[in-house]
Amino acid sequence: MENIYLPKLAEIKEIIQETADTKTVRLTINGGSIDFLPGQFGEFSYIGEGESTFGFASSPLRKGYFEFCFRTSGRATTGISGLNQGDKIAFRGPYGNYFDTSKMKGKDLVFVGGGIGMAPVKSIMEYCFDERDDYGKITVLYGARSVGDLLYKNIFDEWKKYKNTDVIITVDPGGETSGWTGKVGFVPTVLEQLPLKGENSVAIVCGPPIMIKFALKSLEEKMGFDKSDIITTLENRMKCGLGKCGRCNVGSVYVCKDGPVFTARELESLPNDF
Amino acid sequence: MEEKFKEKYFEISAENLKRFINEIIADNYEVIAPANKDGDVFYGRINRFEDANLDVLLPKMSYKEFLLPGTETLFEYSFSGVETGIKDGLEAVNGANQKRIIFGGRPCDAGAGPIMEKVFNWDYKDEFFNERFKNLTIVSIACEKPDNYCFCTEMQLSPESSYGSDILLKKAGDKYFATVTSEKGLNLVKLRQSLFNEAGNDKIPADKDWKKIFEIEKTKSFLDKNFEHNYYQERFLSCIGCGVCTYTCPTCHCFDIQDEGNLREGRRIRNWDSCQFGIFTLHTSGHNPRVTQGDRYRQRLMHKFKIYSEKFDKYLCVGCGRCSRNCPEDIDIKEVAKDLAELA
Amino acid sequence: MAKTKTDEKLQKIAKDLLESKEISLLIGYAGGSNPGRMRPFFITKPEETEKLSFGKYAVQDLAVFLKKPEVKKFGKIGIVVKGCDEKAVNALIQEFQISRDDVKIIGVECNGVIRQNLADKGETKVSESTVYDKCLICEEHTPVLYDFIVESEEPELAVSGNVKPYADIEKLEAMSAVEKNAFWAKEFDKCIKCYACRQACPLCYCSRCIVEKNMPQWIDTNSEETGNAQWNLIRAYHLSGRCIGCGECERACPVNIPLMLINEKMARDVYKLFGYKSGKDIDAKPVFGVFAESDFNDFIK
Repeated sequence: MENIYLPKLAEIKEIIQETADTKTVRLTINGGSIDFLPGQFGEFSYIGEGESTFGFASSPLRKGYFEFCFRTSGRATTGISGLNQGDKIAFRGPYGNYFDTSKMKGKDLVFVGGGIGMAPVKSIMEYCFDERDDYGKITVLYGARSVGDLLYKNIFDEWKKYKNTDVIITVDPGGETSGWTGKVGFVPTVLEQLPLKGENSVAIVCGPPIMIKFALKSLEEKMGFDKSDIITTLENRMKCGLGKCGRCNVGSVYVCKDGPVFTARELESLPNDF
Repeated sequence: MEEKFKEKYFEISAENLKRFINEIIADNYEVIAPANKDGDVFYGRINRFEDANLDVLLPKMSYKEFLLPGTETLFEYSFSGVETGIKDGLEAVNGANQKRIIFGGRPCDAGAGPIMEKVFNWDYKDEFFNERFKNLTIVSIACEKPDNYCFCTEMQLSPESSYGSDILLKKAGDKYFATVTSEKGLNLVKLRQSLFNEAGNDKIPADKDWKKIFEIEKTKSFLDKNFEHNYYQERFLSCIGCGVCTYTCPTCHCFDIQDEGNLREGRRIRNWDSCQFGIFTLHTSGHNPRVTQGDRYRQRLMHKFKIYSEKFDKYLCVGCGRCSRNCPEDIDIKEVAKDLAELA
Repeated sequence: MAKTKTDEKLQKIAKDLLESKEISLLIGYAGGSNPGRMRPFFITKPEETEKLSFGKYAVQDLAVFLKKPEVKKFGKIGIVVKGCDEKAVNALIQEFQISRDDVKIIGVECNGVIRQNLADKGETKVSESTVYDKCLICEEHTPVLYDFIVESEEPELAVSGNVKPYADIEKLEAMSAVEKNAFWAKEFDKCIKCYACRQACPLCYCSRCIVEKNMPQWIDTNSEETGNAQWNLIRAYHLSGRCIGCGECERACPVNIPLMLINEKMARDVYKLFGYKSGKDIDAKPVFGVFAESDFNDFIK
């Protein structure tokens, strides 16, 4: 008999302080990574403080570690934030569906991330970077409320080095610092100014609900993206991740099993329960 | 695949049934039956047949706790130095319910087991549930007089359905006819085979022609088309979100996972939870997809009559009516389901 | 069901209030799912008042709805209250949860409501042995604070004294600490942590209950010995000096924990020590919201 709720113990290989309250945690199990695909998620915990649901934030092609990113907000994340390199984190997963790269191959890609929503985007984006020749032009648009709220500041330059890749970083008006060289403007506004066309393209959008709402509108209405070519993730509250605990239903969909990755077309058929 | 069990039929006198129960209790079987307690009737362990109340229509609570305990230890943990020790909670469940019999429950309660089993096995297999369910033997008694809150017939069962029972007893004068539907049921009979007489299927009294007062498919078709509707917000203004409907329900199975312990040791547990609580779907960000009690009661209706049925081809409701009888504000789910069928 | 004079009066008051737009929602009672039940009934249109009713099955304390955000949104609300329920409204006013100006209180004289489990079995007679214990100690069969009052047609509840309300309190008081502990351990063992007691209570209005707070985790989440004892104790303490004795927690409890024994004992003790009864006077300060030099201080050693 297998206990599906029993976690594995993963070791913290590295912790990167991304912002004042956000950290990236790199984990290994027996010195390696685990089998997962971008878009999937896991249940992470410092045992004793409860589990939290996070999407994977690294490319599964980068061996030796897997990554998640979290903001300290409640009991479980406060527990995790107290851990150091070498400590153990309990992990269950991977769960859920994933970004279907077979539908992205050969196409131009637009990655749109807002705030901590950039974490799952980073996973699929780095996966595509790792097989760069399989895809057309890549445009990355990442925004946060302020410069201080931007994740991954130390690897923006790395992203820019990939061929045929544009990386645009923006902060909300008022969120810029004196030396800020990136854009200033809300993600959907900046998105609309980019020379993008829906034809032969796929857009992946993750971020706060309000950003997703307007970014989807811009992509569809201004740039002519087909709803099936816009992909996003739902972040409903979950506990089991296994389709049992009944918490993440949106209509007849279990976000933990049928999601968390959905196209804008699929979202359209779901009731407003997320 | 397991070979389908061929039903077997017996008859047993009321006197022998009493003897049978008393003898298996003497054999250290734990018999759970409806019994008088605190001015009502609850399922509880009986020490002799006479303690069972077989006249009551339904105990106040279902016997869900024997399949899905209110609190269940998923694993225990301990810390020593840098090492984390984990003890699998399944070990304690191994063999659970092997000598436990639910006696004198009703076909609705029995129907709940296989309905929950689907959820706990549709992909990942929940062995906590499976081990308990596999081992529990259920001896139900067919209902003769359902009350106005009952609607098992509308929910694809009937007051005489054997679905989910290992043995279904039907009373006929001073004896009972027994339909044995599983190996587990047969093994129970075999404990005291001499008290039972074999009977042909033709001897089992035919089921009555139970009438439906609404079509659940119509309720579903309303739910299919109406996620937003004033009905939910107006009708459930009187819902206080107490969760009694979900906690007394034999099929509601939603749960929460929590850790509790100290710096040295503790356990991860799962507890019954309820979609009627505001915090159930509250995101960390403060966003809540279900703001009003109307939204939350709608979810209960959706899960029972639409979401589950689209996945598993049955409904997540056995029509026992407990949620209605026990609702402090007198919300009657049968009336609601009928209303929706009429609005469809 | 035939319309009684009480019903007619209620309907007239409700209709006038809704027509004149003095209130936008009226919370009253209507017939329920069986002849022995009534249920809360929400009315926004004058023409819907026809179903409004009151009687011996009107067990619910409608004041519970005044804490609900969906109900608060309506603004000015009319509410039908029995004497006990009126105290809940008063306590909510005392604790600044609602403003006196936002509620129109329609008091109904009540001579006792029949226990729901008896009514479900067909009991129709209001008597000492069929009503709730709270009715036997009721000091306010007619509400004190109201905007409108409707008399009852039920005969006055005859109290012979043969039925002793909350008789177990005396038994408990006579017990040793060990015996008391055993008594309550057995009762709390039944608890399934559904929190119906909290939700049914008109005075449990915290927007985030202590059981929903987990930093730190004050109350164990399990429905076993520790979690159940912690929850039931914190609930009791949080209502001491506040509970008005409507008994809704006990009525809602699906596993029949005698919660009113705790509540009533607390209320008696608070009265004995501080001379205070909750919900009696909207101008009084809540007992644990004030300190007086004359307060009972013996526990400070």
